[in-house]
Amino acid sequence: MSGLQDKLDNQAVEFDREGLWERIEKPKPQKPWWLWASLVLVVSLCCYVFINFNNKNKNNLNDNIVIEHTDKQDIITEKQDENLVFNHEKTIIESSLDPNKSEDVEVLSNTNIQSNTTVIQNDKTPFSTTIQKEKLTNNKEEIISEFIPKNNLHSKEKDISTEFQTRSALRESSTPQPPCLATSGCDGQNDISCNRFPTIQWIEVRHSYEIDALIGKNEGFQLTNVEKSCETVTTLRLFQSHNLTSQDTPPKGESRLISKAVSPPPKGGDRLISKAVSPPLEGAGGWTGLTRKKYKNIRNLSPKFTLIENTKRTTTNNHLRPLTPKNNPLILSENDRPNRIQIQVAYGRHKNHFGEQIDSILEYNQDLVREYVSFNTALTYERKLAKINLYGSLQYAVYQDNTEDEVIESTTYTIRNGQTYATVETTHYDLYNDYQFLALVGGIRKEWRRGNWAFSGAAGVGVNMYAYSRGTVLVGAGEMMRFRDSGMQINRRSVFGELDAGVRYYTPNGLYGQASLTYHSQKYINHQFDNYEQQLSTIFINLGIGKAF
Amino acid sequence: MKPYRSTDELVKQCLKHRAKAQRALYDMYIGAMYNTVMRYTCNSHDTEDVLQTAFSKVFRQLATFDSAKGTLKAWIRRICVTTAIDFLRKKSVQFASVDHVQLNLQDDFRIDQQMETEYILDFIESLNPQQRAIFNMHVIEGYNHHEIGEILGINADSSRVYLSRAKENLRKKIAHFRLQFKSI
Repeated sequence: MSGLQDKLDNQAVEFDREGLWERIEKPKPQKPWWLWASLVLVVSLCCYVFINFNNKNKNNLNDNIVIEHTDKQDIITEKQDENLVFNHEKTIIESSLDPNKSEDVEVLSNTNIQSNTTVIQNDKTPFSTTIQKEKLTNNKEEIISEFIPKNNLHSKEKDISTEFQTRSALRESSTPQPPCLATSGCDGQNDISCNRFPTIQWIEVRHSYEIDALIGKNEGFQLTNVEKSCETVTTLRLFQSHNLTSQDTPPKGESRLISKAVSPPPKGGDRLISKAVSPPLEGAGGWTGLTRKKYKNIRNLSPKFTLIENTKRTTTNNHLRPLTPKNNPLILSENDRPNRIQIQVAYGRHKNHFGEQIDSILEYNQDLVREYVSFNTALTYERKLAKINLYGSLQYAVYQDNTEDEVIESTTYTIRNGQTYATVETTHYDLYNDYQFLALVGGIRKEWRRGNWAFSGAAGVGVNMYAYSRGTVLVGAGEMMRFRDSGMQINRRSVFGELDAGVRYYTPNGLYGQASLTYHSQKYINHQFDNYEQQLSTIFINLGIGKAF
Repeated sequence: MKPYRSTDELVKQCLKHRAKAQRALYDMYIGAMYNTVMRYTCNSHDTEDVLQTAFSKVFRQLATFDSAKGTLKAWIRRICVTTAIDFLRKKSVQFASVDHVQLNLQDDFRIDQQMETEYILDFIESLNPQQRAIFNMHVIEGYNHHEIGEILGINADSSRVYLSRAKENLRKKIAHFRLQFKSI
């Protein structure tokens, strides 16, 4: 039946071949291994960039905390979004290696509910710090409960307080306290002498409670710094998110942070005693987010930090000052981006006065004026160093000058009645010279940042390959002048100095616009034609755009 | 279209998932397979659905094709037929075994190949699905009863019964048709 089969199979049919083809599932070619490898590489790179970006943002945008550590104590410097800085002694830490030195450093008394403020001036700090020492009642929970409904803070701040309450409650209820291995004199949880208290964040949360309470009390007694205190709470939250988790336990022999804050208040008042050691040592656990390396960097970056000795619970509400990269090295501002590339155009205008006799026949007026109009384009690379920026620039400029002058072409003397009369024939002319130069400039730039604005001054030197064609346009010149040097091509080299003053505006992504004034003073180092010394001194008005990266 | 020297080369290129080779294979066999499946489903929409499934299987299982066992066309046809049978099963066409005691086979029927194709297809289409499938498989595609039984899940004798009944029906229809044709 093969014949019948072929006959039936070959019957012409019409159907949607293309549509059917599209509907058929066809195996796709497998991606080559290098494509997968590239994909993995790109994803890894993206993750790396994302993580770095996030870390950078944390350091840059969030209110940073700088922890400075000495043998005994840590102090946290907090930065606020509003570019305010204040110091708050957050946790007094002392070394576990020397338990004998442990001392109660924060004692809160409830004898006087009203604020008993002590002002301490600490000249050691880079910014003098006024510290308010507040006293609390012994029932913190009451204060919190009083505070939260009463406060006038906006919702965000309320959320923060609530969040801390919730987190703390959760931790206290769900996180089992690790057993204390001390043999005696320890209740297993909260004894200050127990150096095996493992968790850190717990203390921090407690601490925030304390500050919440302080806020409420302050507010209740008409202290006005509620907002600033709430900033402290915000900072605590960040601190917690940076570092501390309930699972983190410093390994044996490593640093630990011990707080008395969780202990039941002793009779006669509430005691908040923070005893802690040191930031974690190398290899210690318990610090997430803010890595050990970064932690060490923070310490290294804040050399001017000075401890406040023996202060009690303090909240620094005064001496708020703008935060700059100088007083907070954690700020990664645009100014810290080391490299910049800039393209600029400039418009220059200059009047040059000169006048020397260059020919026995032709004379220039002694007050010959040349007006220069130039357009300058430049590509600049700038590298930020510690204090100054180095820059190199390649510039190309087109000049045209215009010389308006009168030329004495002839003088006729006539004697009449014994007197001599002189008739002077002059020709008024406009001489236009076209110039081009290619210059290489290098110099230093100093920049002062004020927010997104930067003011800068720069000085540099450059060499210039210089060419111009002379007298391309002569208007009204006499024959002699016209034939003399019209259209002559002249090449020169010059050196010049450059001074610049300008202002820049940086956008958050590093783009910036610049406006500046540049002064060029040129000195020719060879002459092919002119037998007179000439110095061009041009002032450019620059407009530029650039990218810092 | 890129010419391929042999079906083996075409298969190799298809196994490399070359789109042009896949399209060449499709263009080469889709016409015949369409007609084949159409004889089972008697419906263009159903035919396209069956072919979609069948050719997807073809491309997916092409690595199992062994040119030593048969031609590529036969292999594809087998897939199309089994897919069409599956499709018929889904449409509640049951292929049940028949008691061989009742067999009274008459195998003297032959389709006159001189008959017009349309008439042949009309006659085949007039059969019920079971008889039509087995008639197609045995008479047109050339499968033996064991193969048919294997495909349909019935025994070979049942296949013979279905085929016999199909032939009997066709004989009657053709005789009736010829009678009408002569009267005209």
